[in-house]
Amino acid sequence: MIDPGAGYSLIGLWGLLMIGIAYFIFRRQNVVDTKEFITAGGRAQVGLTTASFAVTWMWAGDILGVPEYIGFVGVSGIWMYAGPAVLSSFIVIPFALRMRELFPQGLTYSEYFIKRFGKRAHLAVIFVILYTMVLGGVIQLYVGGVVVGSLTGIDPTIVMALLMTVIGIYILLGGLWGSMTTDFVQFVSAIALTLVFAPLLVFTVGGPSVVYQDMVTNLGDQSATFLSMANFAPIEDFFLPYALGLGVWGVVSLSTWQRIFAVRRDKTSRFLTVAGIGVFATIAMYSLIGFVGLAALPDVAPGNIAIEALGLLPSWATVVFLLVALMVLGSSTDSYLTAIASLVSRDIYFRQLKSDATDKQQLRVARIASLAFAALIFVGTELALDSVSFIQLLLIGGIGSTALVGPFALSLFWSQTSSSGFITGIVVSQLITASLLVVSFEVAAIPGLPVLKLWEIMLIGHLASTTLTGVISLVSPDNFDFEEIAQPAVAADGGDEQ
Amino acid sequence: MSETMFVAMLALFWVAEFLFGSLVVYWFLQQGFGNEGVASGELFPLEDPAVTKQSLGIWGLFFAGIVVMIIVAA
Repeated sequence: MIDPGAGYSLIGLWGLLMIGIAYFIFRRQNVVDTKEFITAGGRAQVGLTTASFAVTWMWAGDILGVPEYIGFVGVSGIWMYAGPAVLSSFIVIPFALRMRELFPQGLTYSEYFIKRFGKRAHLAVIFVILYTMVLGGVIQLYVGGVVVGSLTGIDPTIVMALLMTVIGIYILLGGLWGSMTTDFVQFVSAIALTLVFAPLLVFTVGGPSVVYQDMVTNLGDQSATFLSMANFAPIEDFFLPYALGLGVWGVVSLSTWQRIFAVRRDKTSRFLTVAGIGVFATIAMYSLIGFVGLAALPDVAPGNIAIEALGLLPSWATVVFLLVALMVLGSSTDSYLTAIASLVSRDIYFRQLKSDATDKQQLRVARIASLAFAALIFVGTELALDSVSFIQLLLIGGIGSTALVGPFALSLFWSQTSSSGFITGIVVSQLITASLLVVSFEVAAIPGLPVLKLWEIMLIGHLASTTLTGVISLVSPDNFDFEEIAQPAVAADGGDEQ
Repeated sequence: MSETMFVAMLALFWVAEFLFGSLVVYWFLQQGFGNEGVASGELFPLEDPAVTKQSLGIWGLFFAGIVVMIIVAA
């Protein structure tokens, strides 16, 4: 724990550093048109993009979530948490390769749905992506408020307001270039955190052998279960909802797609592979915080392990750790904010509202949206802090992907997929999962609807969206010609129709 | 999981993380931010199928490694 004055100084230092980097890249890469702002011109190098993609997936939430999983499940919590996070990078590969063939230089992947199905389907997709991205931002800010607030004694609301102000400003300046460059600094910081501070924490309490022996002593009869990688009993609560939701979230996440469109086309699967597998290693290193908690803090509840265990670090280490935590937090939140700004500018403003908008107007809308949604995410997080737990928020976060992944896959690889099937699949699936969530979380009772586990709700969401899209398309096929949307390039002046 | 295996597992995670971080930083130092001199929006060729197969092979090895880890550390 450090005093609030030092906490404010740290946040100020972090803010100046991030805004300074964003200003540097704004000048260096000449971020003055929509294409540079949204996709970094499609010419980002694989190292920068890999770092950006990886650190976007290394959620600040992992600092809380992984130790909490270890506290509930033991060592098998490592693969239960990391597996689904990594799975996203693998599953998105065929989608990415197909999209870059059909839609080589899209600005947002959601624009593909206009070409494929028209404006109504596009609206359904915008709805799912928008709330999914906002929820993602809320999850990140939630953790920022809790972690930074707990370790500095500053009110979480003030912490969140300061974080969102800084992030909003640096995205306003540099767009995706700003996000990816700050991501690189944040990536190096996150790696340093895991390589230095996680082992430091272990040695603070006596080293790995002492941690093991103390865990065995504290866990008693449960030690064999907690120290087995094959502890499958908690799989329904801790693995399946995550795998069925966040495990395919990468396919839906606009921040993932921005990086796919940013990297050179010939490096697409390479950067997804290295970044995805690397994230597993990072998440595995966060587990050390959980092991220290089980060894040294036997009476602490799993949800509080991370904060309490980090409190064992010497005060100088806590200060540096906080700075790194701010880096990790910023990387994910800024990615969602850039994605939302792109969605508002391209998909809502340009595609739905004002198709003759100039590039300058689109860029202005993107910048205004980045500030407006920074405020919205802040308000959403403030409300969430008092009503849901972090793990609940994390698991619910994946619900949007259940409606979109199956229909999206059918639309890319099956020419008969129809607009009516696609829209029906998404809308009905979301209505079903929303109703089941309301009943299962005991918000309200709906006659005829049973209480189900979260993974069952997500599985039903996937099955409903994919089956409905497939069956309706069989009955009333579109017979779409993919050559219609294959395009050599998008004009760099902000729109393929200008 | 024995004490030796637990310690070895932590060491393995540390080495994997170190290699990952080193590779990405090396790439960045070699390549920089973006392709200098390339116009915004210029198309690069599609990925060579051999590169895709190589990537899928790496994923296959990774998933096999996870399964082995679960079996060995049961």
